[in-house]
Amino acid sequence: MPPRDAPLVLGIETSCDDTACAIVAADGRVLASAVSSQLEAHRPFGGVVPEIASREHLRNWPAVSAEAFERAGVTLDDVGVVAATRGPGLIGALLVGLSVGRALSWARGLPFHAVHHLEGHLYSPFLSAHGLPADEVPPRFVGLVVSGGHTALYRVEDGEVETEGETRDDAMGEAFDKLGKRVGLPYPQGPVVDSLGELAEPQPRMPVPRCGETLDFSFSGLKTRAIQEVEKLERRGVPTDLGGVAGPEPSPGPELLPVLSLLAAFRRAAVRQVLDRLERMHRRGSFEVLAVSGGAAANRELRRALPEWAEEKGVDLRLVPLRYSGDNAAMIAWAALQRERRGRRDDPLAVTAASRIPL
Amino acid sequence: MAKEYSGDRPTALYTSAVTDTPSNLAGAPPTEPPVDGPILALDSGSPVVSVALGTAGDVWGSRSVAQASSSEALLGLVDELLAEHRLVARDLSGVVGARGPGSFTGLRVGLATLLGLHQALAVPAAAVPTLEILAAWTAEGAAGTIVAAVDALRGEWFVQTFEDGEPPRATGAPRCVAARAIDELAPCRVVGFGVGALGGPGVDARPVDTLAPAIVRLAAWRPLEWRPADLLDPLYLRQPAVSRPA
Repeated sequence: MPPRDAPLVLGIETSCDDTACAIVAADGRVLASAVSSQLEAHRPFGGVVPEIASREHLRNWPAVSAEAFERAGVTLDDVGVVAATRGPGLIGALLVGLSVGRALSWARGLPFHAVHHLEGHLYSPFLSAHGLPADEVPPRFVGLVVSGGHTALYRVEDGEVETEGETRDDAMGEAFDKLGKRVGLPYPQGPVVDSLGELAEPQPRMPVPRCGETLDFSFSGLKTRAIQEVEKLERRGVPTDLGGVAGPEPSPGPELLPVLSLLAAFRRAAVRQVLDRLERMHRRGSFEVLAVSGGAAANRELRRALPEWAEEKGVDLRLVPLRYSGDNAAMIAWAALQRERRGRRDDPLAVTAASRIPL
Repeated sequence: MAKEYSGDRPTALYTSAVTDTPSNLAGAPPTEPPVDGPILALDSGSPVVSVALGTAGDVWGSRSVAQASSSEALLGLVDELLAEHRLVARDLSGVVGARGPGSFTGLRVGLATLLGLHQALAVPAAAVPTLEILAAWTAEGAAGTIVAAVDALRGEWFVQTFEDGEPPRATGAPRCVAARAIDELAPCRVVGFGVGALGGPGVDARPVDTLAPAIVRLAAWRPLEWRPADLLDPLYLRQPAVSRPA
């Protein structure tokens, strides 16, 4: 239990379809991180419905916050700083968490931080998965955020963030979701495409887009190419519907091998693209620390490939702990602590949510 | 087109890590009504968003802002209003909001704000149906039926009928009707934001400017139900515009 004079940070995150609340100590120890997924509410529609997400956040907040306080064994009286995500994300969803956070901070007279969602992801690889203090955030590092909503490379220096490259179309996780939907997988499709990709050899080889010589990403062409390959299989009468095999331990029959190979090939090409951009960036100016975060940082192939690459280059790789790869509020509280250390605070009476905001 | 989403399902169905019910409000006291201190009332779903301060029946002051800029401004209005009366948040002894119908996002911003205040201050909280507040706004001297009306857009209105009284007594459930159907309720008094455009013969249209003060007045007429869980459950009266894919 932290001493009373080290105030705790209450983190609130409602930018998409997860209602999240966390209590984080000043040294970055996550005392509790509660995440309430809305998967069941959205699944019938094949994706996140913004209005449903917003309704669910309001309904879920008291239970999620109660869970966080209970697990942390603290009360609101122990909280010294309040932080909530201000964007980017679904505007109606963001406004629920931000409104609760602003009111809590104002009524209690506590410092407030309206945190950029990606700032949350950027610093999340330094959190400990085991309830230990977070690692010291190095003054300079390269951040790679890969998720269902974002795919971007950043250079972070003393809290200043420069965008080095970002996706020109789909985010990496979004492309996984869309391909998964095409082959009949239920929402959220991305993680299932990843696990099914483990079951077959990648075939055929798919190209990595160049995007000129920039550090930008593009996954839309790859997704279209994969869908065309699905159509080719279908024209040949090869089954491609994976709707029936998606479970915790999928066991598709041999007739589905061609489509599984296709998913594996798609995944390989997506991961190769990520490594290609890292390679480019490293060639331009080497860096010592690479912090990888976001929901798609849970991708198995990416988690195998990155350590190899980092070792070869002598880069200190910080892979976000799996439990903090998806959206969560611990990362929002932790990012608020970085801001707090730099003396950056927001006025709870004068902030608002925004669906799109630069970092 | 099937509407698959139902907000009526218990929260536990949607959650993986959390098994509590919506009524489990962290830090919430039992629902004892405020004794005699000031209550903060807030209407965030209407075209004009308003906040009011007072004790039951006695409105001390209010503030308002257009819906479009309300999400950013709302808490500042509360702060201003309290400061004007030399109060701080901790002096509040209850918070109450309009529960809808109204702007979906607007309702949530207001109710989420009250939820935060309820948690932070451990004060009783309540949410009152907007149509009941509207009926109370105009009750004095009403002849015949009172029709509380909220613009449901697409040429439709959410309406509920009341008969005169203190407070007015509902004579029907809320429903969604075409604008012209309101004429059939004449003779009546129609009350709501933007109702000036409504009404044929026998319809006495009473446009509303702000509603939060009426919540404070309503509290003088009847005991409010101090049920914080109502904050989580706005009366949207309309499903999200989404249908299940084929």
